[in-house]
Amino acid sequence: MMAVIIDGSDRILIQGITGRTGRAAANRMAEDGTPLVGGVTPGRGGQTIEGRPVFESVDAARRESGATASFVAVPAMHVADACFEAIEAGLRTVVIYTEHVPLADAIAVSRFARERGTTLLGPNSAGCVSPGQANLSDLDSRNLRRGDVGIVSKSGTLTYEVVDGLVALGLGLSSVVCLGGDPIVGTDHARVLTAFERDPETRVIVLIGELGGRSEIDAADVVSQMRTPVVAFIAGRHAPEGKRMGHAGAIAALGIESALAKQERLRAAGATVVQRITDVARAASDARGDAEMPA
Amino acid sequence: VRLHEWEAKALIAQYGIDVPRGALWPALPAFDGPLVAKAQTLEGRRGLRGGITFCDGESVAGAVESLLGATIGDEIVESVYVEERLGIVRELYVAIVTDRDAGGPAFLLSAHGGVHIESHAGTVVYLPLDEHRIEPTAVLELARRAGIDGPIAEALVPVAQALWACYQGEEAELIEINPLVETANGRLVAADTRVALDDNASVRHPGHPSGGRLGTVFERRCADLGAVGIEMDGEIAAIVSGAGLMMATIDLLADAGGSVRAAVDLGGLVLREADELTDLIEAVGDLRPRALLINAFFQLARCDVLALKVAAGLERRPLGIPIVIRLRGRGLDEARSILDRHSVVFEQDLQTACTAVIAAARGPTSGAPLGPGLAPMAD
Repeated sequence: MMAVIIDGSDRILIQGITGRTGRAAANRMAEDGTPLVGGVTPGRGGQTIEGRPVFESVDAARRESGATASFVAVPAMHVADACFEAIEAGLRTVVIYTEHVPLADAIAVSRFARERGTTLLGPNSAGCVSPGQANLSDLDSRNLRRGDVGIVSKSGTLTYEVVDGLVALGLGLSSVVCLGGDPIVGTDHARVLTAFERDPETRVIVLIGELGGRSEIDAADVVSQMRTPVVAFIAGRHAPEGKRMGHAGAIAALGIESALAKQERLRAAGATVVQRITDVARAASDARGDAEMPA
Repeated sequence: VRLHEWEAKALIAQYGIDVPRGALWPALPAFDGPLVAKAQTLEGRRGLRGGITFCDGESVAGAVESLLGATIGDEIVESVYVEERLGIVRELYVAIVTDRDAGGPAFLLSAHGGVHIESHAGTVVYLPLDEHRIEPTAVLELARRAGIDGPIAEALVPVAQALWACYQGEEAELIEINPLVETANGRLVAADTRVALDDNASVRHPGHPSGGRLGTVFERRCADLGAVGIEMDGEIAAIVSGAGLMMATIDLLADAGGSVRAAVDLGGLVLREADELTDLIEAVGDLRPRALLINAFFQLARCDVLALKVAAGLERRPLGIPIVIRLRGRGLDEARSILDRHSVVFEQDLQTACTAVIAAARGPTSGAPLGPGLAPMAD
């Protein structure tokens, strides 16, 4: 099965399915044919949401429904427990959708996921989706099309913009992967780029980043080794110095972590760097066209 | 949350770190000797901006009076901490920071502490930390790399272990002691301390000191409402549905020749259908922008929920400025009719919306005075 992180063989759980966000996600997944097999809310086992069973524990859900991936939408203070349970139960992929997760919990969960070989996205991640296969994200499947553009992004909202632009141009997506905007997250750009490079379905990759942190800088080292063309957008060129720009991880900084420095590193590594978010889809379309031509 | 120095010192003292004898004015430390009066601001670099005054028992009242009410950076000094002045042999730098790129905390040490630590950044040595205790041998090895040996290197062991216990126990994001002073009698004393605690963990620590937030009045107000506000000095206010889109919107406006007065990231407020959205309109209005752009692209959240909150905000506090709204997501038609009577301009395309709000900020209404007495709508 092609695509990265998540594909048609996955079976999805929502942890916190009886909460407001969990229900909204379940409702969308049930409508769009995502392989949602159930949810987990301790104390609510035996209920059903959108016709799917609610289980007492991830382990019970995995045994009875074959779940492989989880969308964690529990309140912030319960995220660590929910994730430890999911990783312990052996799930392949865990998305933490919840924002405002304590830093110590994000650190502990990220380390445990790495130890056990679970792919962790987030905290504060919009999730990941391989259109037509499985949707472990908050993106509305009606606005998606299957295709050959891959997206790896820190930001959910910028991902929506780019997806919208690509679909308007008649293009589709292989997989969309949102890493999350918090300072400590489970997966960085470089790892997802490497997976896209190996994915035969992906012909061009859009990398969306922002000022702050090293993830995009490390990604540049990977880009320089890749054959698949990369189109990069880095938000925050005009961010005032020293302010926290919404994402807890995005502190406007001078030096190597500024948006301009990251653009420069990615350009030097061979990526096409786009200045305006509204031009990213067109640039990806152009890069895809170029990639089609025989060398 | 950032702690004031006196709060930070009380916190690390609980973990066994030596701090100077001190008291928050008008209390005085039970100590007869040279004193130092220190303005309790949250930003760093206070010493270089006149926030620290040497004094003694006789001159302390005058020293405190001249600090109280003074402006240091963005802050007005509201309290002064008075403590014993240390006899300094040497100034070290120690900290535990959360290193996002290493995915966890790290202990930092330099033999060149003090106000000029930033110009000695190359002397800082680094020890990544996991959940276990810090081994004495690791501290001694780190001290050796920093050029520190002898009894002071050994005295660093309990300091490092106490800092680590404090970082973990209190869920700090940052604990910095600069300088950590070596005194004439061989003690290590925390002469100044900065502590940032994790806001997201505050419910687990009901006993934490209240501290304060960095930033302008507007930025602190947004934080209290659960959003992130950025205050700048331009003309356009932008309320945006996510952090990445907020940054990209600022970039689009600036590239197109516009200037930004304020930007707000709503985060998950819309998903929670929070009433704080309504209060945000008022906070933005208080900055007197010349035009407002609302830019939201929703998936699970709904446009009409945002529109209801915005309409409530505009009814309570009409802004009297052009408003451009670019909404994408479910409930768009309902959102349009909810905001219909507020004479806002709807745009589908982000680039068009940015161009429109820049033009509106420069347009005929933008010259009208918007004094503090802006009258409420007569309905």
